[in-house]
Amino acid sequence: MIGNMDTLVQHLDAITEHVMRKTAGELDTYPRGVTPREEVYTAGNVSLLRFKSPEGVTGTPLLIIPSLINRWYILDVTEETSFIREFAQQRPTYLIDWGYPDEEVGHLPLSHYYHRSIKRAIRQICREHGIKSVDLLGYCIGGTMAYAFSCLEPDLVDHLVLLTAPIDFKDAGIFATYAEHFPIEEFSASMSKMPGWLLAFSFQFVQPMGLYQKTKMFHNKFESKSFIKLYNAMERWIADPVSFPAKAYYELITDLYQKNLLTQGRLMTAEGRQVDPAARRAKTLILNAGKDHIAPLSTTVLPASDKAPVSEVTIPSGHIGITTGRNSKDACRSAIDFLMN
Amino acid sequence: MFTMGEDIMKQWAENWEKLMGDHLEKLVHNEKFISEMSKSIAATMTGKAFYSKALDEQMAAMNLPSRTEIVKVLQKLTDIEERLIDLTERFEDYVDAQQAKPAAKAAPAAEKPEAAAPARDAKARKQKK
Repeated sequence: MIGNMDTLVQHLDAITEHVMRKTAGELDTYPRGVTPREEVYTAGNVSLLRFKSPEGVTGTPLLIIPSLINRWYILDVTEETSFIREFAQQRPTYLIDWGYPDEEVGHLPLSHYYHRSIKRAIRQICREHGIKSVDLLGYCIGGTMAYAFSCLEPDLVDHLVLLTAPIDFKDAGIFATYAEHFPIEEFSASMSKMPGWLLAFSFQFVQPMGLYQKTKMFHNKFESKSFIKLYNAMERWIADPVSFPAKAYYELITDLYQKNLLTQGRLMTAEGRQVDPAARRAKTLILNAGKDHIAPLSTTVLPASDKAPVSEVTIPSGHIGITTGRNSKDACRSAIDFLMN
Repeated sequence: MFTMGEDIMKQWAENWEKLMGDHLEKLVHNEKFISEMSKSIAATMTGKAFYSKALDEQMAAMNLPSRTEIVKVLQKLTDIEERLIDLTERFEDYVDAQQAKPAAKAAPAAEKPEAAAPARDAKARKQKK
């Protein structure tokens, strides 16, 4: 039924897109990410993007790990709010684009993404620059993955920035409650992916007045050109959902949200390697958001066994606002200051 | 400036927003509601699994590949692709090590070996997206 629903939604999407294109004007061609870039490596759905830096920019390359739940360009949504544009001004900047995973990767475990894929990307960067380690910045679940990677491969990570990244899932707010009750076994038996539209719906569901408030805000501010630019860019991003591979989703819900194995040092990769926070050495910045309902402050705390040097900056904004809101410049500046020192 | 009628409407809209917001917020955070909703999703998923299995059997009876089988083939292809990527990386590492050996012998011991050449598959191509 959900399979049929999925097909029906795809048909409706296609019709809506056709209608939208007729009326969208500029929005139709609004770019997915604004900083010039090139694809330097691909492996399956995953590709490594290198962003254009001004001549003479050197230093340890920065690899950005975006969330698997949505598209990467939330960090590069407009010129005014782009984190990536700022980073690329300072140092060689790369990003892993997870692409649009579908059923063909539904059997791959979460460790395929947080270990194998990140390691491949770092290997490419190291070969290109003749270096042994890189800096990592992970956003949301991408931060969780970057953290797990820094536990597994401490020699490959120099600095680590965790941007609103949940690490301790013990009290993970509303999503933990939903994860606790989610029929994960039934899901596993019937689906080979968590459809993107269902994920997007669940995010809207936990903020029932969100659409109303957004419409109200649009009504109040639509005459401002800068607002309309950001609004359109955000709508483009929201309307670009990504499916989550089934096995990886199963592990995300059970191993992280339900059993909280990462913090306890009991998370294992598919190859049987322990993800041990005590092994970590990378200097770390926790960059969290005070009003975050997706990764509340308590979830961004690192395990007690983690002895790596850690600093923390809290920005008074929400989970998305930290990347595009009025305080996003402060967040970006904190990350750059940390990486440059 | 609002007229009296507009003021009343505005007040009404604000009250409605607050009442609805509070009510819906409580609802979506209510554990019993979440639990019941999950049961409904579980039933839908169980139904989906049953429907898919029945469809697979129908396809098998007609000697046609089912969607499940096609997905399995795609996943096997992904596994082969993954294996190929791993082997390519190993081979590249081996070549790098072989190339570094004579260079290390020729250079004085104190000098570092030259930086590895850029990856062969790193043919940069402009992102069109």
